[in-house]
Amino acid sequence: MVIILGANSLSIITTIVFATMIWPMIFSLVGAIKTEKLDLADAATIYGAKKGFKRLINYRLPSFLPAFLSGSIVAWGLGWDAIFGAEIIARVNGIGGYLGQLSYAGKAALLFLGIIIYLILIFVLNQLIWLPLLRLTTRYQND
Amino acid sequence: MTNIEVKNLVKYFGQDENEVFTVDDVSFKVAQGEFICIMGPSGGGKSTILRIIAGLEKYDNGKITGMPKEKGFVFQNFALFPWMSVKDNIGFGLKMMGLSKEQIDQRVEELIKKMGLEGFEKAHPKELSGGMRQRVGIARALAINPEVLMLDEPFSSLDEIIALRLREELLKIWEETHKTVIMVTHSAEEAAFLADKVIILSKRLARIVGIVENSLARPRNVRSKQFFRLVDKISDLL
Ligand SMILES: Nc1ncnc2c1ncn2[C@@H]1O[C@H](COP(=O)(O)OP(=O)(O)OP(=O)(O)O)[C@@H](O)[C@H]1O
Ligand SMILES: [Mg+2]
Repeated sequence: MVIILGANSLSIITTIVFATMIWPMIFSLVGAIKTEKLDLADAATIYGAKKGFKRLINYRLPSFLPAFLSGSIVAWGLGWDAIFGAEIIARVNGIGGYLGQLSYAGKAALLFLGIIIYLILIFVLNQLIWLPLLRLTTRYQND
Repeated sequence: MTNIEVKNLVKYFGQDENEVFTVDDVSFKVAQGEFICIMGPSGGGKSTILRIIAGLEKYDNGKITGMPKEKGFVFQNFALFPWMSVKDNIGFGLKMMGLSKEQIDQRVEELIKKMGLEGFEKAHPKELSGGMRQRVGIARALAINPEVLMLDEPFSSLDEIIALRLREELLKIWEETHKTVIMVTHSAEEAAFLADKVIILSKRLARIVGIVENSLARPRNVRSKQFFRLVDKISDLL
């Protein structure tokens, strides 16, 4: 890819990561729109959040937030993989790129350590950011 | 002092007139302050008629007059906003009207008391039982002080004991406030107990097969002979 395109590595990484992350977001939002609780939409209409900005702020955004967040979590997970791979392909520095170099150089112990650090990093970020957010939204979702 | 009038209402789902009719030439009147029940077989178009009157659904022919702008609507499955507390759910309509925070708080407090929701102000719908959720649903509808209260099988997804209790509370609210009430129900006893007038729809196409005037004196004795006779009369038409 890099060779064919010959573009600079940062833009390639950005493109790959973005292209990977956008799909789960789109799918979860489409899913949310399709399974939209029609009763809730009716309630919003009846009680005055009928259209335009008022409806967006008071009904649409909050009702789609859980789907948006779960989409973000999937996207985030895929984003990690994508950035990891993209760095190796583009041969730039970064955790993925570094691990790629280690594996080319055959430094198994360091490679192993690097992967462990990578996993811990993901785990910690999940615990600190995504799980609390998910817990928050399930509280705000009906059944 | 408006009466609501539904005249020759026609609604079909689909592309043209040959597609599935749902409501076929339905006409009835609801006097100011009257309590009417709409009954009919499952899938017969009761919700569709109610939603049309409420302005939630378009219709293909006919005329509806006398509906005020503000109306309360109570849903079978509550339709509370899950991301909001009980308090914010009840105050939602008032907030949309642009009332001040103080005005909203005061009105919400009244309704919390009226519907027996003290102590649950900050809870979210998910944390409440079905009966409590519907109390919030009714409070949300009453908060805007609507002239017309519409309810679509409001007690159908509740335990029988809870349903009976809420039914009596609804009657009390109606007697206190003199609101016009239009309610869909599938229970002949419920209609006989609550309504001044019961509109009964036919199978498949929603056509009116009968309108039963219910002139039993209130409070109604559900064990009296007249009550049973009325329930039978409604059931026979169904
Ligand atoms: N948006 C829609 N598109 C197509 N058909 C619909 C739509 N909404 C309702 N219908 C059909 O119209 C008919 C009447 O539906 P409606 O929900 O009004 O019946 P109901 O009397 O309220 O039934 P229930 O007792 O189950 O609540 C049904 O056959 C239903 O499938
Ligand atoms: Mg229905």
